[in-house]
Amino acid sequence: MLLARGKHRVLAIAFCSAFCVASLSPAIATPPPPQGEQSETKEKGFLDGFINVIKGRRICLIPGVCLDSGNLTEKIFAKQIRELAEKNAPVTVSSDNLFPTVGSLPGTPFAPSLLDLRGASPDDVIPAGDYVVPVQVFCLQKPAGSPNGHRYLLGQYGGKRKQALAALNKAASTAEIGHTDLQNLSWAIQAGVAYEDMPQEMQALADKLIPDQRSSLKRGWLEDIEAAWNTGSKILNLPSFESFLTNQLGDAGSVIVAFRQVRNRLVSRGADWRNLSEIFIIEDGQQGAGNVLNTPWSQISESVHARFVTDGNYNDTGFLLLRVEDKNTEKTKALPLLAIAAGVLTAYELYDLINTLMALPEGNSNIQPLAMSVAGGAATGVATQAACASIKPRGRVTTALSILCNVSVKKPNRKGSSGNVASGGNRGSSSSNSGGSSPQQNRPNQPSKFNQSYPNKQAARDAVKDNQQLTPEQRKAGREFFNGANASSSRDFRVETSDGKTRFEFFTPARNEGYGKLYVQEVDSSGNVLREFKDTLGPNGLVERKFITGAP
Amino acid sequence: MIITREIIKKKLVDWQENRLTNKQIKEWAEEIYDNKGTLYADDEWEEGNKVSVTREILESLTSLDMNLGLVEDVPIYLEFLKAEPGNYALGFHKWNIALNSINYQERKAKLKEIDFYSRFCI
Repeated sequence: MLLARGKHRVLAIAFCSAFCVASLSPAIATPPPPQGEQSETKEKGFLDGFINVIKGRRICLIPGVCLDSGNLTEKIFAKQIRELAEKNAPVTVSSDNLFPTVGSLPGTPFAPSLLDLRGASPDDVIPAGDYVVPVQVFCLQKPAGSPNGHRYLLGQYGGKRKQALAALNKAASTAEIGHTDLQNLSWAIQAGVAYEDMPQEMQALADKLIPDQRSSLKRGWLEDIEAAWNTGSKILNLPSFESFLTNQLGDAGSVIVAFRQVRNRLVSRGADWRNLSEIFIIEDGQQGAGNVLNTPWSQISESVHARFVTDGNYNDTGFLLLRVEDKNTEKTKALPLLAIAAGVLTAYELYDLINTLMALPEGNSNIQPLAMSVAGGAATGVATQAACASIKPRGRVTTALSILCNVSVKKPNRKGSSGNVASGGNRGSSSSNSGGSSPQQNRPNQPSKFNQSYPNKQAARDAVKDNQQLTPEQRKAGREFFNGANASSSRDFRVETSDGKTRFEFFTPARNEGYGKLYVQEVDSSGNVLREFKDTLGPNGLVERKFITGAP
Repeated sequence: MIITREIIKKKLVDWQENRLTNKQIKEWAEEIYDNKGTLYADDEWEEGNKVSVTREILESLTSLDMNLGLVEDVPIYLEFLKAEPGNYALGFHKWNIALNSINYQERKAKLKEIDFYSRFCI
């Protein structure tokens, strides 16, 4: 059952911590002022070039934002500052921009494969199936805690610098840059810091990752707010900008205070400019809600459901779980869903979606919202383990969540392909003939050729045992071969048959992140072992191959 | 060949007391583990999977270089060998915790100049 967005209005007060465009935000939008206070107007253009101009009884806080000075009160002034902040906010985070959630995932139980997006072309199609995409996450916007194991709801952030932030998230997926440096640049973008105000090292990072966005990183937003303050505070004789912001603007004011601290720290280029987490991460000892596998599913489009699951915090690898369905239907206009052309999800659209996603903490306004980026190094067969290993040593992964690490690997289909045998999605059960393969994989006119994947040893053994496309001898050989796998850590079990020869394989990751062994056995139709070998794999590919049986 | 926990324990102690090098214990483990005729005395079935402490440790030793294993880890192996029959899961859980608590990044830095490990320290 779809839950209307309105259901989340209650949460909006908690979520909408910073700059939600006033018309969209029930949380911080100020109610209409009383009749006598509706004297401010916005006059654009004719005062360009002047700041803080007083013209008769009219005062322009900044060019184009003018009001009647006789009626200026602290309340009206605060409203004006708030609107100014919201109007041009670099990044907006609002519960009004959440995707609708569903009570439960429709259809078969979720049985994911790891989606390997490496080398995918923008037009490559993500086949129908269930997927897990490891993502690195970044704080969005506000000073707050970031406890382990909280639940989040999915939506999309907005704002004037949305494209710049999305570009950074996209670049982060392939850049070999530390999380701290990426997060700092992200905070600088969110804070409205101009390129020229960034330290040289941060400029170099921006040049490397988002050169096309450099022109969008201009001064203006914070400076307009400060200019308006300078004018209005003199008339009202207000002593402290920071007190005014926090007292009159609440969460939104606190965010402006934080963003000013960011800019000032970066401009001063002091020894602490890299420690921006001091400004945003509040270590308040609060606990995440836990039970993360009960995170609600969101309906992203007519054919895509997703949820973000993490046992960690803003500094950890999380998982975006996706169900992509074969649905080529018109977008339901009543639902605020993402429009996907022709009902087909391409790699481009998926990246675009992930890079603009926000994960809003469920039911707690004192927790960091998160943005995310595909964890590039983790989206490989070897690094299926790497994604998990990156969080396992910290001791926070529950048994339930670790199951998500224990999946096979799939790639998108090349454009125009009818679904090659190595790229099918994995929808529904992965332990039967229908599981682990796209519909194209079980073409009845090619019964002797197939390729199936299974997430774990048990599923692989069960599937082999019942697979009528294998000879009895091959089934026996497969069961025995898979028996040798490590029950808890081996993954990516695969059976491929072609021209009477069957190949069984599975992967066992090393504890040393980025390495592992691929065990392979090839048998003929009588179950005789033709070749058996194990490949030691590392970050740069094959390290060595050792033959157990058969010639190289 | 039937491989028992006692055999594994003896080899681990030999390694611990410098009667075997890292390379030698890895090669010994490979010889047994890759032999299709090897039987594991402590095989047991758990939730449909055949499991064995002996086999688990042996497999780990075959990847000693890749796993950046050191002789100082021997107590972790010996502790796992103490897992009682029918209690594989608990033993395995403790073994995992112990091995996961190792700082592999530190080890990479420490071992990158040693031939046995260097290709796994990228």
